[in-house]
Amino acid sequence: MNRFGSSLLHQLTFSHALVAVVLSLGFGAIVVGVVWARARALEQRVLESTGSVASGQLLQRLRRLEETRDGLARALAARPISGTVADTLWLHEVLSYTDVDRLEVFSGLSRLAEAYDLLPGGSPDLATQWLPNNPQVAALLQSGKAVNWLQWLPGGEPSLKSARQVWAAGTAPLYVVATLALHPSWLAPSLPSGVGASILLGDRPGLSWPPHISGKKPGVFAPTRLSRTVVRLDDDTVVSLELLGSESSVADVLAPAVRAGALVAIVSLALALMLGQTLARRLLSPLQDLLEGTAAIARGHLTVRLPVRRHDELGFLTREFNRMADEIRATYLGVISTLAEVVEAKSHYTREHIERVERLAMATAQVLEERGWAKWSSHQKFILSVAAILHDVGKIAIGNDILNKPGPLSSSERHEILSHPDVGANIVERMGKLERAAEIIRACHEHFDGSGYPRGLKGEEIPLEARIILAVDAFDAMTQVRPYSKARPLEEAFAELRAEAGRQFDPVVVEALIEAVEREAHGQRLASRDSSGYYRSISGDSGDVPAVAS
Amino acid sequence: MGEQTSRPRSPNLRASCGLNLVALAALSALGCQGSERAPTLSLLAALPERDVEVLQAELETLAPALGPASVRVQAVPVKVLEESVGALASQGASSRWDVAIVPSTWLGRLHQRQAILEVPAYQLRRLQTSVSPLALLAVTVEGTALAYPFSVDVPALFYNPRYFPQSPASLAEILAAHLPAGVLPLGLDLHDPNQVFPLFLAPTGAKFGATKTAEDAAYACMRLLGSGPDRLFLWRLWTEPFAGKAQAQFFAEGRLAALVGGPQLLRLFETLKVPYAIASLPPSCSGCEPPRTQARVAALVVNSLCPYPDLAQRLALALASPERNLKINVATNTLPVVGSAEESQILAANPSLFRFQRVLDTATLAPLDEASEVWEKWERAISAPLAPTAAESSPRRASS
Repeated sequence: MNRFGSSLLHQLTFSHALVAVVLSLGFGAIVVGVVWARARALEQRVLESTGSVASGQLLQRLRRLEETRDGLARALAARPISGTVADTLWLHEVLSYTDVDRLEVFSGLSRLAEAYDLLPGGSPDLATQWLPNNPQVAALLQSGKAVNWLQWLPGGEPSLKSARQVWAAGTAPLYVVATLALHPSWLAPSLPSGVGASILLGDRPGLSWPPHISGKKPGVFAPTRLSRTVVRLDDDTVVSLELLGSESSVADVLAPAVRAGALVAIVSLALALMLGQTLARRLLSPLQDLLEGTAAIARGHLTVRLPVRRHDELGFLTREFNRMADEIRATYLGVISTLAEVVEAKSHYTREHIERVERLAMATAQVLEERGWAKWSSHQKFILSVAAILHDVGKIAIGNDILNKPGPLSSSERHEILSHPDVGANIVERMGKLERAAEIIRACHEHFDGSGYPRGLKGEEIPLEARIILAVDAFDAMTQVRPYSKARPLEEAFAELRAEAGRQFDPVVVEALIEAVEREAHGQRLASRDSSGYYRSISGDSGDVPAVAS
Repeated sequence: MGEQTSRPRSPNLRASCGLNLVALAALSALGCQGSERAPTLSLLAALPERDVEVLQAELETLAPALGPASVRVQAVPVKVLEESVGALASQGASSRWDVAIVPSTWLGRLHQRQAILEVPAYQLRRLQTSVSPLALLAVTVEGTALAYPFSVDVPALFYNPRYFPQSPASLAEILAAHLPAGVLPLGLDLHDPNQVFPLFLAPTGAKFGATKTAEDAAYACMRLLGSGPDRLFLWRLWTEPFAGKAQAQFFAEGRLAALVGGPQLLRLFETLKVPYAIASLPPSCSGCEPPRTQARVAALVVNSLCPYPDLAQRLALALASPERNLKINVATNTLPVVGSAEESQILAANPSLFRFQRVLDTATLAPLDEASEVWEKWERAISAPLAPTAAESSPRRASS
């Protein structure tokens, strides 16, 4: 397929592939968008339920802290305490029944006793910064209210404090303080895999779990966030939770959709390439035939006919092309016919002579083909046919007195006769597209041994078609009645041909001609309609034009 | 065109076929791509929250080396740990854990219940080159390595230099010391017979673990306390379930002159800037044979029902590797199981922990399991001798 065809093929295939890719990518983008939106919504719901559970746990811790505080307050109302070792042991026993980290009992501004949980990592810095350092809490406590507040350790760790006043009989008012260090790991049990959380305390940095969660990935893959207020403490600290979806969860959900989209895109692309190329070939095949047919006509192949395989616009175009090619061929054949008639009129030839020469030349060529000695295309056969018809067209330029002179010719007359092949060739050459026929005509009187004219060519230098026409013309002259001779029997003509084989005629051509004549004599028609009978068809014997096999 | 020739196969067709083959190959590659998520391992441990954070942070640095996997530490109370890890294999699914840190004394029981996997031979060879012989012995039951040593705990004597300018020569000397009013002489947790028996059995000549061991040790302990003025408080301070916490607080506040405890207390005392010195456990009486300190090893076990046994075993081995093990243990104030720990610069930079490491040099393995008969007898023995006086009302009712 030439560059033009390849280019169209590529364009058509590419357009199919482009449409398929654009469609599948567009569809894929919609699917991914929908999946992404649903994943975000689902994650949001997960965060909401997680936030509910986690804030419930934080509140439960605070409630337990308050219960411990109140339980100790009730116990102190019945048990005097003075800060002895026994008191500390007693407080430790209380502490061992709770999950708080520190219990303290104050009398006014002084700490009477305390017990704190140190072994699991509790910090001694959990010691309460008592009333002078905390006037807001002090005011609330002295008004008889139970108070919850937040205390920050020097290291930046927060602790929840819960205190209340206790009136023990016979003593100054006591204050009970229960302390719970805040650990982000509390959130761990309520967090689904991949979800992170931070406890936010006022405007301080949050306490995050798992440690080192970042949540800083930007763009559409940024984790979903959810903030939720848990409680407002009595020191106006707002405890809230910030939940962070997994950085990878949305991407994980999207990954199958993206993979499926990629699969669809690739399958679509593959199908588009296959179907596009098939369709493009189907569309381009007639166009390619037309292109090649046009180029063939331009090269002088006047017998071109294209097969009509379709019944659409391309089929119509092919039929029109064939009609145009027929008209061109008819024009040429009309000119040839005119020339042939002029030759007939000029040289007393009968139409039958030209027809016989043409027919026998084609039959001889067929025998040569069958024997494997030569091979002609239909165009070459057409050229052979034209050359056979017009082989003596040069005689037009020779005067009738010389042409029909019964006696011997003078030197100048002879010279004029010998020039007629060149004249004929020049005439045919000027018709255009028939240069090969002209060349054959120019050599139609060259002898195999080089004794012919006008150039004295010999052997293979003489075109095979010219050797055929020479032998056929001589044979016809021998076997037909002429003004100056009578017809000779076939055997005598054969003997004459064989006698001149190697001298005037090509021996191979002679044998092929004899075989063709013998076959014809036995009733076998050799030359098929597609390669012979042009002269008959153009001279009116038959109304149809020789068909070209498709 | 009269000549009908067969067209050669176009190069475009070959290109198209090639393209389609590439597309099919890409399809296959996409189709074969797995969609499974990275496995998550659960590590169960009875650790303080701060230690959990240290361990979790270290595991996050370790995760890339394990491939696409994540490890989550779950901190649980010791009781929960025992129930979870000790559950029979058939019940394992209800207590989801993959790796756990347990005392080495549990290993025999866990192995009998087929709850844990043995250490593969190729990993054992690596452990043998990196882990101390004592730690390796602790995880070996009847010649089979059942766990990966993780940390060692060994007791020593903390004493307040204000009350004892010199290291006390014996427990009796500590108990007989003249101390300011309100200061108790000695903190001792009697709940773990592994720590108590070496102190009291040496003078009696009783054998560790023999049938009468518990009673012998209890009598020896009572004899030691018999002459002290604060015997009631001391007994309570030594036997109450919250004894350890109370002792630490008293020592930190200067109300306890000496204390037997492990390296976990170092963080507390250093944070509080409490004056303290460390010595090996003294004999119970002057001239008595010095006790052989009992070391307790914590080890990593792999659940026999773990869906990723190979991954879990690689995780356990990684946590026992020298560099990582030193880093984690020093950060959590426990002793590493590394064979060449004393040569470590990390440990040398922590003199107090290094003292414990030296104590470990002469230690033997704690032999008694909480499930043993002797342990049970000892618990009965310490609950009998002294009951709380009527003056000390129990806070249980008050706080309930």
